[in-house]
Amino acid sequence: MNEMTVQIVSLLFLLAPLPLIVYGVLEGVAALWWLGIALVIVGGVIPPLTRFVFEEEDEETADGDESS
Amino acid sequence: MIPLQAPVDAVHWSLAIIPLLVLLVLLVGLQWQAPEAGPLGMFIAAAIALIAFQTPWEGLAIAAARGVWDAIFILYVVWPALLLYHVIKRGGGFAALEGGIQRFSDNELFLVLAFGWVFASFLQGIAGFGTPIAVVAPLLLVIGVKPVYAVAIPLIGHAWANMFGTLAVAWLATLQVIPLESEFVTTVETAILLWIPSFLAGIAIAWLYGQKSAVMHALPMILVIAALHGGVQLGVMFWDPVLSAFIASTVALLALYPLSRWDRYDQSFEEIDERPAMEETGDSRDETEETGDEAEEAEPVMSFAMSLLPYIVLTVVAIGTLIIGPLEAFLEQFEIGPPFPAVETGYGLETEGEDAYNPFAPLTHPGTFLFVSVFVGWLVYRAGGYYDDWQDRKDDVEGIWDGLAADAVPASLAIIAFLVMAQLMELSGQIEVLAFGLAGVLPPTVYAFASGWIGFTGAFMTSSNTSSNILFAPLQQQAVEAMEGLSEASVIAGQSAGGAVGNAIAPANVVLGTGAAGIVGKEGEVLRITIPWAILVMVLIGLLTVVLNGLTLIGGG
Repeated sequence: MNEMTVQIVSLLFLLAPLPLIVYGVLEGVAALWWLGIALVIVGGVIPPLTRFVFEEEDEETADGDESS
Repeated sequence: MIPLQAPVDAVHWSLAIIPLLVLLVLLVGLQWQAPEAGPLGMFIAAAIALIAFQTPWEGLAIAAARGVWDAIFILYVVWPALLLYHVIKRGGGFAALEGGIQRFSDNELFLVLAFGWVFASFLQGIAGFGTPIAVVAPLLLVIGVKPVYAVAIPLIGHAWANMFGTLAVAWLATLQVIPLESEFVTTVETAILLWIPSFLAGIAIAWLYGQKSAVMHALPMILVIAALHGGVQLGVMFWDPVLSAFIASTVALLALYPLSRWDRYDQSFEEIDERPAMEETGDSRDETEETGDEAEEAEPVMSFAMSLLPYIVLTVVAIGTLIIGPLEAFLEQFEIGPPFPAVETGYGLETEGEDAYNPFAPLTHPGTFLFVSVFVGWLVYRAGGYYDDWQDRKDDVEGIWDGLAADAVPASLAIIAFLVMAQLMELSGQIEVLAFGLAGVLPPTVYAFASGWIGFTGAFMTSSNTSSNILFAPLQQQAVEAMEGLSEASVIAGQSAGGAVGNAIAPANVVLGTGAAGIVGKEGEVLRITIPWAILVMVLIGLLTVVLNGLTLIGGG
């Protein structure tokens, strides 16, 4: 999975909670707004994590290029 | 005393400022990319809201949803603005634009000021919501401005027009949240304060271009444009504040033509040794993405006028909607906004429920104007065969959708995170504690100085002069009522001018620009340019607010 795909997934996770939370808090369905919170957390954690994951991949690629 | 619902003490004040400090350190100090720093700021604000401000989990959920909804307002400019850029670029429009602009004037400094200051202000006058930054940054790249400067320049250039731009939406919002004793005095004092960011925008942009010698060369132009921006805006206050920024920025735009015919600005200006903002040659974005030689070699496939077509459509549609009252009234009928229930924190701070939160009229939103210009541009370029011709001339043409996703997705992540963070801080009372904390300890004269900084902080967090005034104007009014020696007009003017300037450093605005310029991740470098300018402007606004406060009180205001 490349960085762009990961970012698109993260973006969808951050957008999806809007209808879930609105419906959940208005209709009193706690499971829905809790799911919304969970999606915000997952969607928010991904971008800072990619900083480290893709930085390491870039370094490995650079090392590979140098050795070849 | 000011009625308090949030826990205003040193501990809570120190905690409330942590999310803002973390964001500044990550972006400016550690040079993290905005999509990485934004979510961390969001999580820290949420943790502080939950633990120290007794915000229930349901309140956090509502804040998150409100923040996402706020972000959609901005994303509806970001995506079509970037789409516009890629539709023009894919047809080779920027190569034609570059040639045409060089024929208009050989004076780079004049062009940088014309686009980065005058045109950006005009766009803020008619469209707003970040449109000037997203549209002007790519145009500055075409002139040869380095990407980081191409973002910083319109951020600085458009800031003054935020308060009364887009039919004075921020002013009208202010009137909705507080009844003012004297609307006229407040608008006049605000217009006087806004003269500072307009004049210093011209000076700063010339300085960024070529330091002292560039400022001296551009000074007559800067004085003329600043006089028109500030003077016309002030003059129109006596008639109708709603049209003030639109008329002032339009008059300044028209003044560019006679200025461009003046020998001083018609010809190249060579007496500048160092030009820190400029690339050596060519379109700086093309050079970062492609090989510079190839970009320079490709001859345009369309005329200059054809390359301008989408921008002309954008201007006509925006102005048409703006000045034809019945059309605007008709289009504004369709509004959508999600309903939210009330939220109350453990400290008793209640945010009222709303049937339609922050309703969004898509047909009069600048995003729709941009979409119309994109559609017309794409249709004409496709029918004219420009996409095929440009593909034949250049082998490695990037697809419209690939380019759009690469720029817009990371920018969108950051914008959502920043606005969720702002909502978490607002609903939990962190923002109220920050502002009331200042109001509680400052004497009146110092408070008058600080009133602009409160507006500035609000705009920094929300990327919106309107939101800053909605958040803080009621607090400022309460502070005036609680203290002797403060003029309501001066304090609200300070708040409004500070809210305008805060847009130059608001992370969501910065990332909108870095997305448009194809340099997401360099937000810290942009902020290193805009923050010193904003601080200087805010010090001067603070001092002038103190003077205006004194004069207004002497005059019985």
